[in-house]
Formats: sequence, C-alpha cells, structure tokens
Amino acid sequence: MPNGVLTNTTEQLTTLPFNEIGVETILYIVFIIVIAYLLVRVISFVLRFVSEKIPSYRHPITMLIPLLKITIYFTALYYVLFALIEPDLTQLIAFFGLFGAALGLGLKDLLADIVGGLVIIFEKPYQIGDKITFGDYYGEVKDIGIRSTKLVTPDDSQVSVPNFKIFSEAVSSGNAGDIAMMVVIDLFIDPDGESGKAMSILKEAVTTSKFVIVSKKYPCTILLQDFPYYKRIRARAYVNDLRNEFEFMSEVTRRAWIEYRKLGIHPTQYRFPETGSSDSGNGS
Amino acid sequence: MHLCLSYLLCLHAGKEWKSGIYVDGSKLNHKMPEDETTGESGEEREEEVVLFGYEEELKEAQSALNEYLWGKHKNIAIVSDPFAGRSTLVEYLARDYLTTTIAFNSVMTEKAFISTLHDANNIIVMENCHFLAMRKIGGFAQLDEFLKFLSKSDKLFITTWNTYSWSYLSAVKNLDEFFPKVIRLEPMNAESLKKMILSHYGNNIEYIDDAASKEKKLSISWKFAHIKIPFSSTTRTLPWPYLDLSSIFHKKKQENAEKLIFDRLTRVSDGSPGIARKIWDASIDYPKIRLSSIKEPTFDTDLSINEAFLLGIILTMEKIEPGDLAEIAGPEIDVEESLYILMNRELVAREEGYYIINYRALKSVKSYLELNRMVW
Repeated sequence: MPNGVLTNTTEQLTTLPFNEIGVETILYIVFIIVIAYLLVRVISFVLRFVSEKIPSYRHPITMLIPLLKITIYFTALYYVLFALIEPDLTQLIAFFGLFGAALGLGLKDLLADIVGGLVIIFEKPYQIGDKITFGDYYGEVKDIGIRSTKLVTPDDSQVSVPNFKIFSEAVSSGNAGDIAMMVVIDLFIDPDGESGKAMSILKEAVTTSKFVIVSKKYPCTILLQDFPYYKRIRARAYVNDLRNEFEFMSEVTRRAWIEYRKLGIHPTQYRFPETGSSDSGNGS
Repeated sequence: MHLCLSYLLCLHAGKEWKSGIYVDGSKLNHKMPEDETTGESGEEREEEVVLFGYEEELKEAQSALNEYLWGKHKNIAIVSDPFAGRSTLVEYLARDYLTTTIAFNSVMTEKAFISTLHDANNIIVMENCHFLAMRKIGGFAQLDEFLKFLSKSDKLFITTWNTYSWSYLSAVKNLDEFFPKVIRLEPMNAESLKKMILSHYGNNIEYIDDAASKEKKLSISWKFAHIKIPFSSTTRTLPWPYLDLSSIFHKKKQENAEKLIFDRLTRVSDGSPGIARKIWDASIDYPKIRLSSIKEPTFDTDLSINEAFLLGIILTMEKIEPGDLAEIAGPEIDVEESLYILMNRELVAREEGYYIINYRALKSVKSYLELNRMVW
C-alpha cells in the first residue's frame, strides 16, 4: 500500500466517532450475538426437520442453512459495529480496509475459511447431505459452517475439514446434490463359474432390492471382467437414499450369493496378496 | 402358488361376442380387483358397460385398434393407479371386436397361460399384467416368457398395468419398448366424477352444506391440465391448485353445496373414480348427502424401510397373498410384524386372504412412497 494512502486511511480511522462503551452497549452486543446464535439454531433445526419430511428435496432445503447462517452472522456483525461506532461512508470504507488488512495478516486462515465457505455455498462442489471424499476422509456432509465442513464417516466419527482446503484439495461427491447415489458392488467368482448366469442373478439381486431406484436417469449396469484367478462381476446401480449405501451393498451381496450357491457358482479361492486372506469378496 | 384357469365363459356384449378367461393363481371364480373397486361382481360384468371421463383415452385406444385392423401393429398398455377403472375401459374398448380376454387375479408362477395365447383370437386383452412379475430374484420368468411370445406374435395385445409396476418394469425389463401405445388413465376432475356417480344415483340427490363457514367461502381444488408433449404422442397431466372464490357470490345454496361436495370428493379421492364411488357410497344417506360426511382422513406414514418396502409391494401389486409377500420380502423382513403395523395404521387392509391398500389411505401412501423413492 503506498505511504500516502496508508496515512490517509489512518487519519480517517483516528477520527472514527467511537461511541461511549457502557454496560448498556455491552448488553446490547451480547443480546445481538445471542439472538443471532439462537436464530441460526432455530432456522437450522426447522430446515433440517422439514428436509427430513421431504426426502426428495433434502439437499436444496439443507443448502439454505449455511447461506442463512452467513447472512445472519454478517448482519449481527453489522449491528455490533454500529453499536460501537457511527462512521460515515468514507470512514466505514477505511475501517473495513484496515480491518481486512488486519484479518489478512493475523487471521488469514480464518478469513480463508470464510471465503472457502462462501465458495462452497455458491459454487456447490458439494452440499449438505452429499457423500464426499475430501482429503483423506469419506463421509456424509452434515454441516457447512463458516469455518469448516463437518463430515460423518461410515464408522460414525465426526470430522471437521477447514473450508479453505477447497482451494487446494480435490473433492469428489458421489451424488452431486442428488439424494440417490451410484453404488458399485463387486462379487468375485471362481473362473470356472458360469458368468452369464452370475451376471443375470446379480442384476436381479440389484433391481429387486428394497434400496434401489432404477429408471432411465438411474440405470443399472452389470459388468464382467476376467482376471487370471477369478472373474469379477460388477454392478453399478443407484441407491434410493445415499444414507442406505452400505445396507444396499450388503443386502445385494447376501442375496446374490445365496442364489449363486444354489447354482453352484462359487467364490474364488484366490488369495489376494495384499490382504493375505481368501478373498471370496463377499461370499460369507 | 400354482396356476389354474378358473373358467372360460362367453359374454355377449352389444352386437359382437368375445371370450374371457380369468386366470387366478389360487382360487376359482374369484372377483376381479377392478370389479371390487366399483362394487361390481363377476356376474355383473355382463351388464352394459357405461364409460365416463375417459373418452379421450378410449378414442386413443380405438384408433390403435383400428390401425391394427389396417395392418399397423402397436401393442397397447393401459396404465393406471388402483381403483382407476382399467377393467371398465378395456371392457368398453373390446366390446365391438373379436377378442380373447385373459384377466390375472394373483401372482403368476407358471407359464401355462402362454398356451392360451397361442389359441387366442388376434386381439388379446390381458388384464392386470403386473401379476406376471414378482420383485424377487427369479421373479420375472413369466413376464420374460410373455414378452418373448409377444415379440414373435402378429397378434395385438391390449394390456393393463398398475402405474408403479409399469414404471418399475419399464426400467428393469424395458417393458415400454414392447408397448408403443401407452394410455395413462389420469385422475378425473370433479365434473367427470359427478357424471359417473350420478349415473348410478340419479339426479334427485339433496346436497347439504353443513361444513364450517371457512370452507364455504374459500374453495381450493386440484385441476388437471392435459399437456401434449411436443414431438411426441405422449400426453401428460399436470395438477395445479385452483382457487375458487365464486361460492362467495353464489346465491343458490343448493348449487353451492353440490359443488363443494364434489370438489371435496375429488380432493379426498385424488380423482380416482373407484375411490370416489366407495367414499360416496359410504357417505350418502339416500337421498341426502352432507359435506361433513365426506371426511379427509390423515394417516401416520412414518415407517421403517421394511414397512415402506412391503407397502410399496402391496401398492404395485394392488393385491397380494401373504405367502407371495413373504417370498418377496425374504428372511430379512419380519412380514407379520410389518403387516401388523401397516394394518394398525389403517394403511393396509385384508380382504379375502389378500392384502390390499386401504382405499382411503391410497393418496397418503402414494405420496409417502413417492417422496421416499420407494416407488417411482
């Protein structure tokens, strides 16, 4: 910043008309913060409740939560600032300029998180309710906060990923805002197994599952791949609600193997070196 | 479950004749599900069929039939919700043609019906074809056989299907590819329902408006706009809320009450003629009918995934035996417990050994299952 501009800005700020800060002002500020906090909690609760009642619109509704959160907190900040000072426009600009510089120097990570949060809200690389892989973590997005995104992993651990990571790390979303999500189910059969029948059974196991949704938009595909010591039958299908991802995989696998056994289709006996176990895949 | 052809009878309908075969998985002389919805017994089918409200759909089907007679072959699928009157429509449609009618009445587990198709007339009416498939591994064998036969045949097939079965089987088995002419029976509006009901009861009904004054002044009802999709022969029905303030300015109380009653009936029945007729029958104290007697029930539809799945199966099959339901459910689901909960909440009813959706709950059930993507 050139010296002249800095001097000018400092002069503007030294003349800021600070209000007298008494008990009343402090109470007022506390009141604003409490109201903002309660408002955020109530709105979040109501929107989550409504979204659970209308599963098809769960994502659009929950995505309003971070947006409203940011709006409410910035409005609260605005009221707090005006409780402390009563600046004119030039002073306000100067204040925010210096405030921004201070943030940039001292609280740059927090600022980066806030900007990251805004980018997430408007660009929507993922939404609340999506199943994503963010950095080293995979899970369902439970909340997009001002500072971080909260994920719940399949083993029910909550992970907070700072929002600024959106600028440096790739994020993959399994469903991109949709409540349905593609699930890949692999079964590994003995190379002598009849692959045609195995594919047909897996297809029926998938399409008759209580968790599946099948349509032109959500197709079901069955693929076969030959490996030296086994055949892999792969199903790609959509679960009707991504929260049932693992139940869907488990149910299809179990039912398919019951039918395979009836037809004499056996799991591969090949021992996978990396696991060291007889990986029949899912033949248990 | 085993197949048996219950009986073969010849019906005289108008000038022409036709043959009808009722195919029932378990029972002899069982009534048709559609007949149950309209209160007509199997024997009453010989009466003159009167059709209300589906004139457009009838014309579409007739034109496909006439095209067939001129050498253009397009198999027809008539698709509707339960209680919508599919059977009445096909009966009306087939009365002037030489047809063979096969009506399935429960889940088909054997393919003996295929031999009947070989000997049938050139126009074959097949009712309730959703009974050809069961949502389980190995449950599509009969449907596959039928589609195999159909794809090699020169005969014209007029088939009827449950809406949700149709969507499911179209996605899973490409059913829609075999039936280029799809006719959907959409919900009826208040005017059509009124015509249909008054054709049974006559015009001497006394309508009594005894509801709260709020409803008298403000009437919101659903209207249905038929939209023809460009570059396609498909017609879609879009529901839109209609706010009617005319009753505020209405002077004739009799007309006002009549309109309110039929609007409410349309809303409660979701435009389904079969359900509207049942509600009407239950509400009327002949010749008087009161607005307050047509109640808008609410149901607890907060269900577990297993209960929702079974409910979806009952909705798509329309009626199902406990054994078939248990086969579909598999060992993971405690069918008896789930059915107990569904019946306790009055979502499902048991009738003559079959589980069916309680007609009053159909609207809530459809809405719940669609929202949760258990049916689509």
